[in-house]
Amino acid sequence: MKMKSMRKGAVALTAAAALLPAASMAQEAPKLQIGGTTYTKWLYGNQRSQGAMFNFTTIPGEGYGENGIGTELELLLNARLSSAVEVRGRIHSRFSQNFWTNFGGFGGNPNGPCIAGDCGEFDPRSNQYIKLRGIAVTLTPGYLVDSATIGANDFGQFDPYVVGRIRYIDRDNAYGALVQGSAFERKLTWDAAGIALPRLWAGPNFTTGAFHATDASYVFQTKYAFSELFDLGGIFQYTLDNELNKTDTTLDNGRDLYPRFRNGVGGIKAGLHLGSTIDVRGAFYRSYMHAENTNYFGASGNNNPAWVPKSFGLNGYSPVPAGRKEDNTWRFDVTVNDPLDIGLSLNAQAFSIGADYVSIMAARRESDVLLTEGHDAAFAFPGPSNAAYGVFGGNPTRIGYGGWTNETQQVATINVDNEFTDFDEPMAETAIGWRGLTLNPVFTNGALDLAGEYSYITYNTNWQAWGDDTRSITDTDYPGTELDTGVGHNFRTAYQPFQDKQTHIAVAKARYVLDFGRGIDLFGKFKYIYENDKRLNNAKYLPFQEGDCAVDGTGCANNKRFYDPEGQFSTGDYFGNPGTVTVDGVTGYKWKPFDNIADDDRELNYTSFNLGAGYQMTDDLYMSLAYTKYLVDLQDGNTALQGYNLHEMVSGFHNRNQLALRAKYILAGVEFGLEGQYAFGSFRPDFGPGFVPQLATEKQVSDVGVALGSRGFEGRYGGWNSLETRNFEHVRLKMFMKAQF
Amino acid sequence: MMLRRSLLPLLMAVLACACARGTRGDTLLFSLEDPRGDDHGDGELRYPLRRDDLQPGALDLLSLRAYAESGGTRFEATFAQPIPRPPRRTVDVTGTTLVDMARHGFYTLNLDVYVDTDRAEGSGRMDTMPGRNLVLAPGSAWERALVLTPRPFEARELLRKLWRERARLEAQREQGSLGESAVRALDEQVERQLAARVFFPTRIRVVGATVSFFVPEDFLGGQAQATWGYAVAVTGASMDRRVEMPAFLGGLTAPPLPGMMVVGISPGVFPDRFGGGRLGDPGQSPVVDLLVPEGMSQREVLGAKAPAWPAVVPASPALPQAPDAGGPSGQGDAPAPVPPQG
Repeated sequence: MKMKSMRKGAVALTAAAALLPAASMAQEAPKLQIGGTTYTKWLYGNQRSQGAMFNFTTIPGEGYGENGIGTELELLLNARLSSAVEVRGRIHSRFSQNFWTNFGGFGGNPNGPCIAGDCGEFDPRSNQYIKLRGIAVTLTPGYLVDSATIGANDFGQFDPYVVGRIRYIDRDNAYGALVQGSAFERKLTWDAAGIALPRLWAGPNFTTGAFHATDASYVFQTKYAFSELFDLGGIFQYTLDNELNKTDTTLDNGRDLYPRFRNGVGGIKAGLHLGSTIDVRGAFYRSYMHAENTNYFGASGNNNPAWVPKSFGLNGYSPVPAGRKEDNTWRFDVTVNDPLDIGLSLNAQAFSIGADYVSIMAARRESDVLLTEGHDAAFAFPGPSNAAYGVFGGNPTRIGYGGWTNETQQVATINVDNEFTDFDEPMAETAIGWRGLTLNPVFTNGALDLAGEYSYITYNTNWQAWGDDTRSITDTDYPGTELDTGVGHNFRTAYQPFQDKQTHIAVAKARYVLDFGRGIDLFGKFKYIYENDKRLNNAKYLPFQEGDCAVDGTGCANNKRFYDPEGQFSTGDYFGNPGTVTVDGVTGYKWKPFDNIADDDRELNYTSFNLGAGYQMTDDLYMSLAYTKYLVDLQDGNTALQGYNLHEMVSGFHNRNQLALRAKYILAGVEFGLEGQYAFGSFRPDFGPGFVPQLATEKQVSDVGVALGSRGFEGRYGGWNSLETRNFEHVRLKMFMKAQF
Repeated sequence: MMLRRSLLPLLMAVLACACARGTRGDTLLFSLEDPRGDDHGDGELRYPLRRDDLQPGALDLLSLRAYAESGGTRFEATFAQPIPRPPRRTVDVTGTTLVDMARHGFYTLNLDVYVDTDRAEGSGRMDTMPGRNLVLAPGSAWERALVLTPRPFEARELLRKLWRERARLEAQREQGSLGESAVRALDEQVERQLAARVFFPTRIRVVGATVSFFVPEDFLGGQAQATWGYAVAVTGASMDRRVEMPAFLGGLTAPPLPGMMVVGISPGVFPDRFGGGRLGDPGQSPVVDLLVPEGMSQREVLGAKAPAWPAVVPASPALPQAPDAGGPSGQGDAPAPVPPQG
């Protein structure tokens, strides 16, 4: 049944227009209406971070934090020039780093890193700046077209697989021209738009290069309803990111352009609606992308914004792969609504999202393209406490041990955006490469709602050496984006060099309204995930020759094994052999030599239980209390893989608990909300045999905060993985006050 | 094995509950039918532009049935299209998702049922919920109103506020300035009216194209009667909840017309409101579909001249009945269903 702001933009377009909330729009009376929202947020957390007034970002130079109080104001303007012309816009102050403790944002250090409000009046993020947002003119001439909107838009009226909600802080940051029309008594509808390509992220290397002003995405969709039973539609999108042509040196006749990035997607969609009982929908998409890959714009990104990565190392970052790619995506949905009239419905979905499927304007979040609820957002980043690169100093967890709340949303892009979110908000994960089936029965009987899910997911990214034996594993078209290690699924990771993975997800949910007083909501959930990933599954990809390392731990010969016929490429370039170490008189390897294809295997047994109750205490106050238990038995490679040399290892047993209190209160029309969470638990590492544990030195104490002399091992890149049981405790709170007027 | 262990109890529970369930077992008190395809207001109303969750048929009421249930009445409204479930998508500045906001499993529609229990001319209220912009016929003035809406508690609070404001304005018009005690008395009067007259269901179930809700005997004074009058209207639901703008910008802004969680209507077509509204008619009703008795059409009631809206009496032989509908006790023969004029 799943059909599935800083953040003022959350209601930006609709809210601006909802300045006219009343039943009918008095088209002659008001020429200009002003509405608005004021939003005050209080964050508290025992991580004591205070970089900004939101919990999470991955953007270098941006702050994040879980402490502070800030206030925003948004004024919504709406002018009806005539019955056919409407203008809307917003004037919006921002939280960012505008803490109450800034005392108005005076002073500050302009030469600092500009986080935590330290730059004071010298940085817009901490001097209570106001931005103009969401300016759009909408024309409804009454002939030729239904509507034309010129200006800001969220472009959510298209298709999340192709052009979807592309929010970046505000939902309506994107600008373009949208024309919508219909014919044949609205049996035929069409929408066409030209969208200015966001220079901030909509191209290789998260940029559209140096010349951006004409970069755009063009999209057209149409649908024809043959009858109430059947409709057919199509969607086409083309994105063009141009740069100045370097070979055109004659300026007298203007300058030629040269494409930096091109992306086209075509799709057909059909729906069969057999009354209100059976609904069948299908869609097929084919995508094409071409990121310039001849070093035309230079071979380095240093001081060269037009540069396009020709390939990535093992762990690159980009919203699109490198080179030229084509691939297909399809989905097939069947909904059967209570056919037996007993309250039992069934949703089913089969799907395949290609490994090379790319639509740069696909929804980045706030959409859910798959029926499955996917992974839990509690474990969304590497490491037992969601800390990417946590083995190295200076990389503490950002969202914290508690992660985000609830399950994830799936999006058909690696360009996932969870920036500037708080822990209580939905979190999106990439579903690029996912292929499988979901069954979702839903049963309702009186006060009882039951829902279940079973999903089987395999992956179009199940490959060896990125699917190409002719290149080094550190020379790939695919951005690894942290690579896929961790308890759950790294939210923006679609690719890893070796993968042979299947996932089973089973969910049972129940909600019952107890007939007592205003009705007590009782809810519970059970979720089980079994995931198996053999990763490197062919001995020819092992880094070194068989028997390279002596079994008595005295050393390795370092004779690499090459996986290509020419003998050029070896995984030994990345997974180097260990040196030896002597600890307490025992000599052996610093980590296990990567000499077995099982060394990197992943096997996840993930169980979570949730139980809670909610009650409408008064007309104005609703409260709920929920407890969630997570039990995770995980093998995610041993010390030979060591989290791709980059991340904290998570192999072992995780026992996590979470208590969440929520409240919503309305006082004189002003809405107050609270969510408080207490997450606590432990991680008992089990990194397997084959190495000699070392003892933490002052350096590790300083870098990663372990106890002096505690057991662990130092990895290939000098990161430290502790072998001691870790106990976590994370308290956090978000309270808000919101008044719309 | 683990999967089997986890899915089997769920399956068994579903089957057990399904077997125990008895939709058809409850006594049908009455049934009101409405033509399919008349979800067009005055005939010109158009659904919001390209809203996937609010397409033609979504607010097309086909029937309203009342079943006797222990302790009250269960009403069951069936629409032409499945009722969309709220998705888990952030919808406001606080990070609140639609599924959290619309906790009762639906978010696109309001269903108002104005019940004329005494059928006495001039007895009861003739106004409708704020923003519906309809007036009931004197002979259909209501004593009880059932307002099914996605955010019942917020709606109730908003209605309290709007009724209080209206009461105070009327009193000021009549009496001039009001003292604290007079205001308090007015507020208490509104509170009594609200408690006695308007019910916002919270025991709600949504399955496919049907939403059912329970109304306790305490409110209706028993189970719903087929001899009562029922005026039924469907509107689009707005999740927004706003407080009134302070007067300091009074010269610049016009106060919005007070609506209670209802999607508006205007000329043209827009994604955020109904289109096809009449030019020069700021008081046009945004009701998408409503029930009218035979001899009167929905177009008339929602049209420019907008005659007072008469309620439908299920027990009236001239009114539509479902084939299995009976009288108040659910017994007896009913005439063949004749849809009212849309």
